[in-house]
Amino acid sequence: MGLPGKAKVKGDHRAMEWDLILQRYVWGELSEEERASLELELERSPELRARLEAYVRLHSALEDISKQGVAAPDLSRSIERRVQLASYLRGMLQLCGGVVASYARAILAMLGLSR
Amino acid sequence: MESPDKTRELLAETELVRAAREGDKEAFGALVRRYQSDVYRLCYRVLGDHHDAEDATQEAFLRAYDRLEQLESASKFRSWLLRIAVNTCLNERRRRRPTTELEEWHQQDPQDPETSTLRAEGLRQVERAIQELPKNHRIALVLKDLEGLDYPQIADYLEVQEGTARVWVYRARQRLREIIERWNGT
Repeated sequence: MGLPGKAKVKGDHRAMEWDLILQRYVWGELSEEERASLELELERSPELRARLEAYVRLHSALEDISKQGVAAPDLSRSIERRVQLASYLRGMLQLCGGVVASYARAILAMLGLSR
Repeated sequence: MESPDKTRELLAETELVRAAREGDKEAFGALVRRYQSDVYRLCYRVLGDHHDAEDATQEAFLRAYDRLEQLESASKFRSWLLRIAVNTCLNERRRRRPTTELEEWHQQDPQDPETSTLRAEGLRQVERAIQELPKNHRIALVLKDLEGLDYPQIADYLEVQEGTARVWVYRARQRLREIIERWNGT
């Protein structure tokens, strides 16, 4: 892993790179070698450790949220009604379109404009 | 390899999708009952409001019904439906803004005696913070960290390059980390 130089995580242009590396560490996306390099860096930098701690808390919070159930209301009746209504409207539109087209053809024929 | 139960379930689902495509509304109703919780959960996590999630869920199923003929493989109904739900959420104009308690919470003194109460409310606050993220970043984070999708799937759902999906998740987490640091007064 290319560690982004001395671990100054605040006001440093490398801060974003450190953020990415710390995220990958917490979310288990680093190789063994990369983890070892980062852990050495973590021993040296309290700033980096503080930032790591925040990501660990975030990871844990997101995991807890993902495990929480979301109580879903039963929308099946309402969806089925809307599907039926949509089908009915579509059918009516097709029918109306057909009737209008027939009238138009009849008028054109009456006016002698049809081929 | 799929387990026998899973295979049977998939076969049944394929049959339901085929029947629904042929206009069988009961078959479509069965698909609604099977997947409404998944769609609702995703919409709620993205939109952060139960009424908006209800609207988006219904809209997603209606769009799915209208586009059943476009579904390439009946066995991929669930992921296709969730992709429609993601797009519905992207286009959903929020009727209600979440409360601004998040901002109030940012302004709290971390040494305040109420700090412990705030800590206990941590999860709720993180959920609110998620709602403050830009929409694309929020959806990418929800799909990755709450729904457990991988980056190629997220890229597919959001119709972006995998690299873009990674950047959106990264930025979302970074922003949430900043909020958590403020929460802890660091």
